[in-house]
Amino acid sequence: MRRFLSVRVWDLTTTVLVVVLWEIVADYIYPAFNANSRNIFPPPWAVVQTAGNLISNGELFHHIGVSLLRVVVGFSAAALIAIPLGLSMGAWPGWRRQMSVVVEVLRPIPPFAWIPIGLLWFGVGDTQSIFVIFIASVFSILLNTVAGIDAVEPILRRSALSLGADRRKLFYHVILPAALPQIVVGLRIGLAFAWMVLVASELIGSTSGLGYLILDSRNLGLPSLAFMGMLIIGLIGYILDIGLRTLERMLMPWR
Amino acid sequence: MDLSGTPAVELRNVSKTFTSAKLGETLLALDNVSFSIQRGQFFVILGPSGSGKTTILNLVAGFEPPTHGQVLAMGKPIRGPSWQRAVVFQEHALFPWLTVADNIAFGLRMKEIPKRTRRDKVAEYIDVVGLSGFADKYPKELSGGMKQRVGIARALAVDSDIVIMDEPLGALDAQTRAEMQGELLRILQHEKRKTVLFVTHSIEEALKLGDEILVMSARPGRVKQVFHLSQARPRSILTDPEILQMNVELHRLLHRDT
Amino acid sequence: MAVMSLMGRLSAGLLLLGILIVWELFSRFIFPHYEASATLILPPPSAGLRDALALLQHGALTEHALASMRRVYVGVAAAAVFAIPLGVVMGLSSLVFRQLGPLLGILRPIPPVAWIPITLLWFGVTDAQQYFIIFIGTFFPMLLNTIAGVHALDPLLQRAALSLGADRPALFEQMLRGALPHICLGVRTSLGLGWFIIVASEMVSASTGLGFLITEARTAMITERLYVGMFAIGLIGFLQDRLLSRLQRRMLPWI
Repeated sequence: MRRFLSVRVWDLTTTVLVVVLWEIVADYIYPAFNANSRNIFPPPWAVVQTAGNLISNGELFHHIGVSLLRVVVGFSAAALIAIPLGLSMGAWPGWRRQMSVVVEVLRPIPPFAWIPIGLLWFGVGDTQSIFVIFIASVFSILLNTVAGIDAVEPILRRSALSLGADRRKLFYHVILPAALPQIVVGLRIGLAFAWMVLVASELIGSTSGLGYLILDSRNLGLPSLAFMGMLIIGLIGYILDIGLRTLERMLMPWR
Repeated sequence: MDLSGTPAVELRNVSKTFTSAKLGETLLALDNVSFSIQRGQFFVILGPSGSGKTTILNLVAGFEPPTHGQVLAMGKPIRGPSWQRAVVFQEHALFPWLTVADNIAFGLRMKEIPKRTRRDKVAEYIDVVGLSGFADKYPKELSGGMKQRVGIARALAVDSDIVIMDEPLGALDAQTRAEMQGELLRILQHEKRKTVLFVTHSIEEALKLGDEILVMSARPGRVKQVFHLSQARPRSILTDPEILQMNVELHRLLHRDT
Repeated sequence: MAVMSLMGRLSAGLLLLGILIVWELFSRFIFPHYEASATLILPPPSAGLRDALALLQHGALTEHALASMRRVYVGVAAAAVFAIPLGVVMGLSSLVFRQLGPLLGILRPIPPVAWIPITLLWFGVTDAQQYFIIFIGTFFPMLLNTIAGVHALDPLLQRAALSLGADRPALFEQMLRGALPHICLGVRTSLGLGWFIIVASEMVSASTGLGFLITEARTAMITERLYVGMFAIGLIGFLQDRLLSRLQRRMLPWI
C-alpha cells in the first residue's frame, strides 16, 4: 500500500475536510453538550500547540531518543543472534529439527505476554524494554532466515558446485546471498513488531519514552498530548520501515 | 602416463534406480547403459522424456551416484561435482545477485584465480558470446537468449575438460533457438577441442550439432542406437542426403517409442 | 512406517525435554544456593504445572480465557463489518480509494496499543475500551486484504463472465467469490493479531482476561502463574490458528 502516500493534492480533499470538521466539532459543537470536552476530545489545533511546546522545551526529543535507543539495542541483539542461529539451522537438519520444536512452543506466545516476566526479572526501565523488543523481533528474523535458506533453488547449488564451489564457498557465495531477501523480510517484520511492543512495554513499565509520554497524558488530563504522541509513534514506525526498505534496495540492487 | 587415448567420459554398465519414499515404489531410470565419449567430441544424447537423458547428465555432472556400474571422466571415477565438468542448465541457473560479468567470473573466483587474469578472461568471454555492453547488467534485465549466452560463457570460462549442456536451448522460442544453434557452433570454434555432452529432445538440433548421436529409449532408459556424423558444420539438414536419411531414421526410432 | 515416524517426531523433542529437565534441576537444586529469592525469579516448570492444575480446578483459568476470547471475537467481528464492505468499495472505486487513502495512511502506522491511553480517557476501564483497541488493531489488515483481493481480480474473468451472459448481480457475486481468499486471509491475520493485542490491552486496563492474569501474577509475585498465563495464551492462539486454517481449507478448497 505504498500508494497511500503517493497522493495528488486533489486526493487530500476528504482528509482536509475531516480535520476541519474535527476542529469545528471540538471547538464549537461538542463543548455545548459537555463542559469537560477539552479534556476528552481536543481539537487538531491543540495537538499542534502541544507538539510545539514539547519541541521547544526539548522533552519530545528526549523521549524519542530514549525509545529509539531501546529499539535499536533490542532489535540489533535479536538480529545478531537470530540470523546466525537461523543459518546454522539451515545448515544442519538435525539441529534444526530440535530447535524447531523449541521455537514452535515459544512462538505462539505474543511478545506482549513477555512484559510481566521482563519486569519481574529486570525491573522498570531500559532493560525490560530491550528484553521484550528482543523477544518480539527474534522469532520473525529466525523463521525467515530458515525459510530463506529453504528457498534457495537447488539448481543454483548445483550450478555453483559444477563451477568448482566447495561447501564453504557454496555457503558464502550462493546460500547467503540467495537467502538475503527473505532475511530482510524477517528484519522488516521484526522491526515492526519491535516498535509495537516497545510502546506497550513503555506504557506498562517505564518512566520515559514515547509510550510513557502518551500514558502520562492521561494522568495529566491532556488528551492532545496523547494524540500528538500517537501520531509521532506512527510516523517514526513508518520512517523506520522506509529506512529498512531503502537499505533493502541498496543491499539488493538485483531485485 | 599418456591419457590421450582414454575417453573423456565413459559409462560402464550403468543402472540407476529411484525409490519413492512415499509410495515405496522403485523406478528403473537407466538400465545397463554403456557408452563412451571421445575427447573433443560433440556428443548428443537424444531421447523422449523419461528416457533417462537428465539422469545421465546428473551422473556425469556428479550430482548423483549410479546405483550400479561405473561412470568415469578422463579415466577416473566421478566422485561429485567438479569444475572439470561445468554444466549449462536449461533454466539458465544464473545467480540473480551477480551481474553478467560476475556470473561469468564465478567459476574463476571459485578456483581462486587472480583478479587480473579473471578480468581478462571475463572480458574475453563476454566478447565471444556477443554480450559486449551488458557486463554490468543483472540477469533479470536480460532476455532468455542473452541469459543462456551468459550460462554458456560461465561454463566455458572455467576452462573445463568437459562441458555438459542440459537442453540449453529448450526454454527459448523457436526463432531465438535457431539463432542460438548457429551461435553455439561459432562460440565453440573459439574453444579448442572441448568435449561437449549435449542433451536434447530435438532431432533437428542433434543433426545440426552432433559428431555422435546417442538415441535413448524410454522407461527404462536404454541405449537404442548410436549415429556418427562426419559432415562439416554448419550443416544443411535439408539437402545432405545422408543427413536426410538419418533424419528419417531418427524420427522412426523416436516416434515408435512414444 | 507409522511407528518409525512417531519415533522420529518424539526424538525431535529431545532438546526441548533437555531444556525442561535442566531448568527443573537448576531451579530446584542449584539456583537457590546462590540466590535467596530463586523461587521468585525462576521457579521450576513443575511449579507452573501445579499452579495450572489448581487454576483449572478452580475454574479461574477458563474464566479469564473466555473473557479474552470474547473481547477478541467481538472486536474482530465489529471491525469486519466495517472493513470488508469499505474494502470492496475502495477496491472498486479509485475515487474513494484516493480520497480515503491519505487519511488511512496517517492512521495505519499507529500501533494499536498506542490507542490505549486515549481510549481509557474516552471509555474508562470497560469492555468497550477493549473492543475499541481490538477494532482499531484488526481493521487495517482486513481492509487492506479486501482491497488487495478486489484489485487482484482478473479482468479477463469478468469479461469471460459477461460473455457467458452474467448480469450485474451475478458478476458482483463472482467478484466477491474471487476476492474471498484475500478476505479470508485478512480475517485470519486479524484474529491472530487480535489475540496478540488483547494481551497488551488487558495488561494495562482490565480486571479479567489472560492479560490481566499475568500482570496480576507479577504484582502478586507468583511467577509460576506467569508461566501458566503465557503458555495458555500461546496455546489458545496456536489452536485458533490451526482451526482457522482447517476451516479455510474446507470453505475454500480451490486455494
